[in-house]
Amino acid sequence: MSRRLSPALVLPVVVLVLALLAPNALNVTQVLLLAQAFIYAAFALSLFLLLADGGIVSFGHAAFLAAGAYGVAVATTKWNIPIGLAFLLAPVICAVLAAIIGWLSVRLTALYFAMLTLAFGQFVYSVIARVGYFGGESGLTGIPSGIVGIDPDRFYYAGLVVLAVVFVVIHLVRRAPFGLALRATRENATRADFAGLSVPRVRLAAFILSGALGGLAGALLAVTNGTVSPDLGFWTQSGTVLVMILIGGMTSMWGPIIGAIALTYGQKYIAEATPEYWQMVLGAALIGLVLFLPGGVAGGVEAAYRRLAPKPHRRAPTGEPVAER
Amino acid sequence: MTTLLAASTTVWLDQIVTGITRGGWIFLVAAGLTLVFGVLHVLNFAHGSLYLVGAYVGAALGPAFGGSLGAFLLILLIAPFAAAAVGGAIEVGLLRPTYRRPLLYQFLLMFGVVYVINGAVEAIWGVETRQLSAPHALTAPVHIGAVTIARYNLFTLAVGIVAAALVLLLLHRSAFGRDVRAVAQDPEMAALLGVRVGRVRTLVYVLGAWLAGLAGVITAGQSAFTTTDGVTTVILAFVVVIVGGMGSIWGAIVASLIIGVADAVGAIAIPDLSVAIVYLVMAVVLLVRPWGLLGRPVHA
Repeated sequence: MSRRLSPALVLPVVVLVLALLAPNALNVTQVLLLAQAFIYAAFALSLFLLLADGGIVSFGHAAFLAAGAYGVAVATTKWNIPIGLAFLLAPVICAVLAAIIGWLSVRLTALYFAMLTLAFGQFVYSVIARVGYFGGESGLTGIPSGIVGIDPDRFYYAGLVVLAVVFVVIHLVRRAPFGLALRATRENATRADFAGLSVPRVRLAAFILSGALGGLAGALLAVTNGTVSPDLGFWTQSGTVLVMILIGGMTSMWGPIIGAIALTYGQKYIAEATPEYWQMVLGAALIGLVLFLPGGVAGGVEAAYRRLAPKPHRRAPTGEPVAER
Repeated sequence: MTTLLAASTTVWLDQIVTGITRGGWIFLVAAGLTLVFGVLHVLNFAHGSLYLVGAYVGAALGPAFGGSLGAFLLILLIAPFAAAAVGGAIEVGLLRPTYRRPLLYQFLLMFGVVYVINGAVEAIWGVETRQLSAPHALTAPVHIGAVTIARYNLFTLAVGIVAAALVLLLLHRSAFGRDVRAVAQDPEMAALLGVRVGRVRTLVYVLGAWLAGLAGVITAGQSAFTTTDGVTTVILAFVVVIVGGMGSIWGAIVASLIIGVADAVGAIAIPDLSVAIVYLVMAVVLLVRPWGLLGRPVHA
């Protein structure tokens, strides 16, 4: 069986090769900025599964970034667990947390689910911000960096590895029967139920996977920063990651990655250009994006590509969450 | 043992009374959000920012109006109109074109609004803490039997009760309220029956914004605040809506009182977990009644 080289395979390989070579061509500031963008891209991808395939909007995803980061911080500084083991423990902690929050939330309507995940996320925030064991407002410091060290290039490659792992896991999950089941619950929960799927159980499984992968991103953030602070879990962080997905668009897995890089750069340069008004500029840009470019950047690119190359196009297996009333 | 119990009875009573007055404040914070959620079915993140607008405008008007009781009450009525005006602009300019868009886009729109308003507040008033000093007549402590309570807390409770009564009267005893309930139930059908749905939505959002502003001014008179207070307070309002159930005003009243008392009593009973009590209440309610205390069951 001979197959043409499909763009679906070529694109990731080309991007990966470019990403591997990039640190040679970039200065330290750029490398560090990209390293951070990769971590947020992994974080955004972990939520993308829930949002694009599950069609449910979680507004408390920051809880898992914080839980992953604090998992590593507590395990290494308080329990003296080696960093490598602590790093693997973080997603497990997040999976357990996601199981609890998800179990209480997945049965409810979209609007209620969003509100509940928001409230539970804020619960996680108040615990890490107020309880002395977690260092309170100042957080925890002295997290060992292990093999990542303090070298910008290693930060970069560590970010790239975590992003690639999350990308591959989510790609495989979306192609597996489970991905199909998840999309079925998004398209029509009643029919999925009639077909014998347990809608809450499918959604809960997606929520747990999403939380665990989000925790992995948080764990790396703790390692590269060396410190953790409660801000990681504040609800505006959950909003920011949704913004990343929206900027990139939900038509493909490249969307959240593009969005995370764009927002990381945007925030830095807007804050440098107008230190006083960056919040207003960012907010106005966001409003403009929602009103005028609903498909995000990736959606816009795809639309342009389709116009340039009008050929039968397989419909991407993603869509927008449907508002449920 | 008996003396310990006798001594602690007063302490408990103190905490319960404090909790009830705190419930009044929580209701004020949540009332506008409940109304908007129940009628417009929008997750109104901007609620906290509108609350902030009320607080800042109230604090800015303070020196100009002087420190008398009458001036304070006047500020309490006037300052929320700034929040109401901003709210009107949000509904007409941003929400109206997007009611039919997927849920996510409304969230993100609101998130953008939060950034813009918080940024504007910071640009105008800076990041230092501010306060609106309440008149002397409202600050002295009151003794009721063995219980001592801050007069301002009682005042807050009274404002909360008045606000609850007026909102309930408006919703259930007026022609406008009948229109509002019709739109909440089924906007298409209401439109067919001649209700001006767009206007009802705008007015409800403006009223919700006014109530958010009122809560802001009340809080400004209680304690110092900063630009970050909006994004923290809005969460408490969301918890009240979750516990009370799907935009039910009575639900919000009951939920506010339960959360207020649980918070005050819990601070004494289990001080280590005091930050978690609000959320524990929420988790317990969800286990028993996932749709909230007075909400109707709706499944995904």
